Amino acid sequence: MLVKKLYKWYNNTWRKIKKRNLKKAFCKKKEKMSAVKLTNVCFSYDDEINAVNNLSLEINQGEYIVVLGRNGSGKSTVAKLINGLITAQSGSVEVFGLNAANKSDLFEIRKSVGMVFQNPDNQMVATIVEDDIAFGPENIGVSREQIAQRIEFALNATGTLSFRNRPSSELSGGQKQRVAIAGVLAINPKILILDEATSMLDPVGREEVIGVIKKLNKENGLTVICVTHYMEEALDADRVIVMDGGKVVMSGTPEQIFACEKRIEECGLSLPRAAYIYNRLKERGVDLGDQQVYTVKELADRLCELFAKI
Amino acid sequence: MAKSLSFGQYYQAKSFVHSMDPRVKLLLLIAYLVTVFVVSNFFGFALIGAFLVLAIIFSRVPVFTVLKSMKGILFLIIFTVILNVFFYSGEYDRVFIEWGSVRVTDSSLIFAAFMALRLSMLVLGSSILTLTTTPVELTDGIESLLYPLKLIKFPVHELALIMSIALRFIPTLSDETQRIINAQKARGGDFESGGLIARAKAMIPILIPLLVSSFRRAEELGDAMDARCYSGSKGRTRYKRLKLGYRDGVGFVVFAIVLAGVIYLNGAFVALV
Repeated sequence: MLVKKLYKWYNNTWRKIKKRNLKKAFCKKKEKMSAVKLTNVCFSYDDEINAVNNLSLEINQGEYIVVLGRNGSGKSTVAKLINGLITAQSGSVEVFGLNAANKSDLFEIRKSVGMVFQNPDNQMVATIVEDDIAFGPENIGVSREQIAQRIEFALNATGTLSFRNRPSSELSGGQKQRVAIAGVLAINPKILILDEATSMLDPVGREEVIGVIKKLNKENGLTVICVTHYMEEALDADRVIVMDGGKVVMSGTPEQIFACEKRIEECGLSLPRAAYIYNRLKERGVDLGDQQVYTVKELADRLCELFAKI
Repeated sequence: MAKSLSFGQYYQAKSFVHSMDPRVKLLLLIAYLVTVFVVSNFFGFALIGAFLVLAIIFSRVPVFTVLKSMKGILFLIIFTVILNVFFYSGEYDRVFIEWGSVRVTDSSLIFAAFMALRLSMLVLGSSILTLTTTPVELTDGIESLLYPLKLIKFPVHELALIMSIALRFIPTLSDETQRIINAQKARGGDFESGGLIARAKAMIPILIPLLVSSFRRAEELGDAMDARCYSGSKGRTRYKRLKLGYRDGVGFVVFAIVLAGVIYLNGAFVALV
């Protein structure tokens, strides 16, 4: 009897401990880990004006960040700083605990930070799509079999499987940019930076690219930092960062940011078109409902409702 | 739209010659060119001609397309023929026309025909390579063939990368050139009228923007390559590997027969040259 009881007690306690440990481990995983940390960073291209001026910023793993700002606000400079393409003159840039100022850590940082640039034509190395995607994994010394797997994964993730053996010059802008994303994905990064990657694309191409990025963020847990001046792209973000004069001026959810119309305009930006129209109509007493509108589709729906009432 | 692959001459088809290893095709071409220079009589040319016909048949490239590659060199051939017909100074048996020091003799006619044949054979053989091999395959082949030079620290990988980037940017830069031409035309630029010098001068407003933009592209490409972890050939792997197939063996054997034949014919008949 006693032995049985003792055994039962032992078993239960052990199970409890195990459960607690598991819970702990799980919580640890869920706890947001800092992916990128910029502390008091200054950078200047010409020693006169600071492109980035005493900027501090922390980005967590798995976040979808959109960085907004007018031309010359320093938003692209921040992107290049994170990747170590340029080195901060003062302050520190840390990526997963590695300092970008250390030349020896740079390779590791670039392995975990993928970057897609503005012009799709200027970031492809090989003529054939497949060869171009292989370029990254080749550089980091991945074995042939694994490169094949990675290409397969990258092509699938970006929906470019049908272009595999085609020359990139035959593709449209949006398709090229998706191939560029695939080329970066094949390196298996944890962070994806898009430096105005949609600014040269037509609306369809832009939607293609944004769709792919959103999917990668949701399904693969990729941290996304999207530098842009298209307000509509900010609506998908977990957090929007507005930059001006090399500093972070505002930071918050898209709703929080777009609630401050005046401040946004001071930064040389404007609200998403739909939100702007909604605000102007509201000022003139048109009742479109209390809920703020952000997308053109929502606005159209509200207007239709309104007209139906009349 | 396939201009990026078909610049140069590539003719898209699925054939025996198309699917041969580019390295083998390159080596065979080199051997072929040497053979064309070794041949010393018309019987040898007949054999090489037979080999060419065989290659054209198995490459499924229309004969007319192959012959079109002669267009560029036609002037040179005619020029050579004229020079040789009138100024060949070897021994001769019969004189057809004599006008001062200029003589048309039987041997000058034969020699001119011989040179014309040799030149055409050179061009036709090379064009079969470029017609059946994409530039990308060619660079891969050249890189692989140059690989032994790594032993003497020749930067093979870098050279191959330069070639492949150059190929990759040909369509991009040609689009860019067209855009610049249009932009200059829109501002009243004139590229068609005037003499040779005037037209060459008119190219300057095209070339300078093109050069500037190439530098800008190069810088951006450099950043993109850095961002994709490029750090030279050290610790780099290769995804694509060229594979030899049975076709390559067949190619070698057929060519070896032709070469043996040419050497035999060279010995068996009187050398014309």
